Amino acid sequence: MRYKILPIVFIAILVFSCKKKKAGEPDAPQTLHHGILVLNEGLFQQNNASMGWFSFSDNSYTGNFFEQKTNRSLGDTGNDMKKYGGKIYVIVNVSSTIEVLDASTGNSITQISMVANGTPKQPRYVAFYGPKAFITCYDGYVDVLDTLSLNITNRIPVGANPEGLAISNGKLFVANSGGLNSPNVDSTVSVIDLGNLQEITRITVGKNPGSVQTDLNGDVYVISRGDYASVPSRMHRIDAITNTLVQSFPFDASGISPFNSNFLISYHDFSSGSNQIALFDPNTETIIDPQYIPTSGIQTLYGVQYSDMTNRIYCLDAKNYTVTGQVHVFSPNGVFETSYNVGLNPASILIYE
Amino acid sequence: MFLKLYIPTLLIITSCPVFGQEVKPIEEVVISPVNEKENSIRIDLSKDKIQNKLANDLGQILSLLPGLQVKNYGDVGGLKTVSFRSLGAAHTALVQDYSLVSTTQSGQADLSSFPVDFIEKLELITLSPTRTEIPIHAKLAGVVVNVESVHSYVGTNQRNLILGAQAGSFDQYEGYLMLQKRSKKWAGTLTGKIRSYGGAYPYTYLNGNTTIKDRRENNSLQEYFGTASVQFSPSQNHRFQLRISGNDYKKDLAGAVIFYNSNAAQYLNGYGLNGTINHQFKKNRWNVFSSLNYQKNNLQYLDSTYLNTLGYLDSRYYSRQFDLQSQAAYSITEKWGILIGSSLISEELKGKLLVGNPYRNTSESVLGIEWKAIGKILAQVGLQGVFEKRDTVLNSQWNILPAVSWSFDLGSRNKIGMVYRYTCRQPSFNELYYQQIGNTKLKSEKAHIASVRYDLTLPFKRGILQTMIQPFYAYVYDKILAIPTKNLFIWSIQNIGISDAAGVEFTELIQKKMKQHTLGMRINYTFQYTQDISDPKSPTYRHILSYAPLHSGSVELDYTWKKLSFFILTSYLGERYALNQNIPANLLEDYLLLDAGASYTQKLNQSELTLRLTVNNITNKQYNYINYFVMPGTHFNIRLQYAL
Repeated sequence: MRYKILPIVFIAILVFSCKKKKAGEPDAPQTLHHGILVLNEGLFQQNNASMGWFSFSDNSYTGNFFEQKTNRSLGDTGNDMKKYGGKIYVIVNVSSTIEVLDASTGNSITQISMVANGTPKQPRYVAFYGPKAFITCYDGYVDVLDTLSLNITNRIPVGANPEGLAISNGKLFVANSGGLNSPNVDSTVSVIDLGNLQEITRITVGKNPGSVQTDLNGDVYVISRGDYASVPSRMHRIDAITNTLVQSFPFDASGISPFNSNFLISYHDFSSGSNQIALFDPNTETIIDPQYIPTSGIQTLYGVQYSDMTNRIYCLDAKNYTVTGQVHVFSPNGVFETSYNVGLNPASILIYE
Repeated sequence: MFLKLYIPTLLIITSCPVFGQEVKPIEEVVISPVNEKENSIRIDLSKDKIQNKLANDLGQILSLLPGLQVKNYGDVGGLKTVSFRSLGAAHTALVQDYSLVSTTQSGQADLSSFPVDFIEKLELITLSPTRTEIPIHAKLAGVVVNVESVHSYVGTNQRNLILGAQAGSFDQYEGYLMLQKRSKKWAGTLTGKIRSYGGAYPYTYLNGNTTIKDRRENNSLQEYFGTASVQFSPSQNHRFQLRISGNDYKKDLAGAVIFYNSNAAQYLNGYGLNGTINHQFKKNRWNVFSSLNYQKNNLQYLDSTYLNTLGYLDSRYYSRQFDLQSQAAYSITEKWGILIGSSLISEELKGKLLVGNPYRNTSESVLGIEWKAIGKILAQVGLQGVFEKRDTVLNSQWNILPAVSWSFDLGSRNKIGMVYRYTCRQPSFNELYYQQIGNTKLKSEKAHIASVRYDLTLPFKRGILQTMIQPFYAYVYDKILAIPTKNLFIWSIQNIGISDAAGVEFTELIQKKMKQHTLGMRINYTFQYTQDISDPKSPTYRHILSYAPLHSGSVELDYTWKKLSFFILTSYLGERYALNQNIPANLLEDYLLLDAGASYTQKLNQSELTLRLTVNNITNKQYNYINYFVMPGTHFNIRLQYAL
């Protein structure tokens, strides 16, 4: 009969199987200074987009910064984060929301639901001009947000699935990716008059336009991402006065980041897994140094940002997209200094003194 | 509208008064790995145990077997796939009435599309080298889930008519019918089922520190199933069967709960047709089984909020599978048996989002041996040839797939068996050809699986205690995984992973009869440690794979007294990770569910009336197996069945 004890043993294993307690996170600071606010994109349908706070004071990382500030989660796929006029605007793509936070404390001011006629607009990126924020929405519009009332005041129709946007010469330049029509993607940039909020024209650049950036001269630079196969990812220059494409560059590029008067041109090759960060001079339109920053320690280059406040270059590393990412810090001369562990797929950072 | 009227009407007209009769005893659950009459390594589940659960589908039943993990993406109609010892769903072959269920497109069967109302027998087979009715392709897979219904004509069903109706929470209505006629040489069976489900169940989830209450939307279902079969036995030696079945469905796809965005508008519509003809010849020492099967499936995925220029996504797929095979078994002596067999499978898939119109021809041959010498040795070797055109080049591949087991008795009560097999699974057509995601360079995913099984049978006064303990190890390489290779939204399929799994499966059955009372208890428990060993430099090296819980199990108590029977079932799923990195942010909570049910059977001359009632998730546990695919809280089902 000794065998009769077996069921009891196994029931006990079932009931008392060991549990791991979730580790506590450091407290989020009351006011934000001397650190980095990180927007981590998370993964699609996992509701794990997050905002984290890395403190320079004690090198601690608070991964649930947003939860501590709001008692709720950020949502699904945090796509863009910018600071403007005392507020932080966080664009959450799949949840289709814009989170507006107080820039000095990180406390929530409001959450804006981005749904039109029952369909999520899927916001992507934000840019600012005067009292207005312009938000590209994947449903083919640029939404205009009044930064004082925090209401959507206009919807400007553009091309299919707009992505990056930038402002120059009183005009808004919007990359129409058409990504959801793949393989028949879009190839144009919409030009919008910021006076009457009407589309003036569309400029053909190359397949699948994504990032948009301006230089100090007002020129607009656009990256067309191609088809990730035979059509390569390229950078193009648009004259913001004549609204014309004036130059296409022959080198690989997937991101453009302002670096004083220059650009840092980043590129991640999905086939080989290699990374590259070049220094580009928009005055001479030439690459100064094709390997300005050593990338041997970076697995998947997911973004580059320069802070004139700290005079440092920050490279965002998504690793294999399913594990904790990192922020690698480089001196302005491109010398590696340190790395910080952050969240899943770091997409954007804000530096605080 | 028709369905909404028909099903309650069916329920009402079958709810006639019932009168007293004798009780049907609980059917014994037999765990028989080395039973002398058996020529396979298997675990089975009795028909009554299945029927008493009022299970929505096969997935719900399979989750009660040790070693199987059923990934559950929703309630009625929600996708359910089964994984055996962490091998992945594509390593499991599903056989229904001697035919291999087609998995042409995704490589895995959706268990939610298999009702269990007419199941006569359910087996989990790890090796069956000399059984002629198990298709060769299934024999070479990691594990076989073998389902035999009333259309197999080998079960215990002696009924001419079964008519039933079921109603449940959240607007669940079902009606089913079986007609069977048997004569000396002929037998014919007709079965049908319709079901509808509203699916708007309430649920709560934690958003940060805030508890959110909501109701499931876009989760309804309408489904129709029908099968007709004829069996003809011109002599004692020959048996012919013809079977034709079809199903049609319209499903809403609720998907994962997305915070702040409850605007899901995806739908899945489709139908399937399946035709089989088979012949069995048994004489003296020969047993020959031949079959021809044709399957066709049409599927439409519709997303009415897709943000392309059209404003919607309408993807349609058309798949066909043709399967011809023959197996012959011969008992050379009482101790020696041999089987040889060959099969040809032809599959094709068409769809606008696929690159080309993929097809695949697979030729498989198997040699099986059974040798009862020192214990029993079962062995098989399969030769698999795969031929398909990839990137306009004809690609051929040959695999040799061996498997062997040795089992023996240690006295009359103890039995020990050992099994090893090498298996591989081909990439599915989605993995090969789905637009930018597909990768035509994929190799097959391979696995070595080994297990040792110990069985103990202890009869005691009016009862029996059976114990099964089975440690196992599985090593999988060239794992087919999806990773982002173009950007975060465009993933591609690669052969990059290696994993291993070590664990133990445990089953305990106790049954005792006391006059008119019968008590039973069944315990299943699986421990498995499945780790990623792909890359020592990876942050997930030696981490537990996602959705591979360390602990899972169930405890079921049965009690029968005269006309009544009751069961209480507790099932447990341990903590698991939503992603491969084992960090607290990815940890999903364990859960313990409590279900109960009762049934009352009344005999009326030749007929029988059975009333069944179940209460699921009695404690109203708010849980999900897959992250944010929320499951229902407490819900009820009542079923009335008339059998003649």
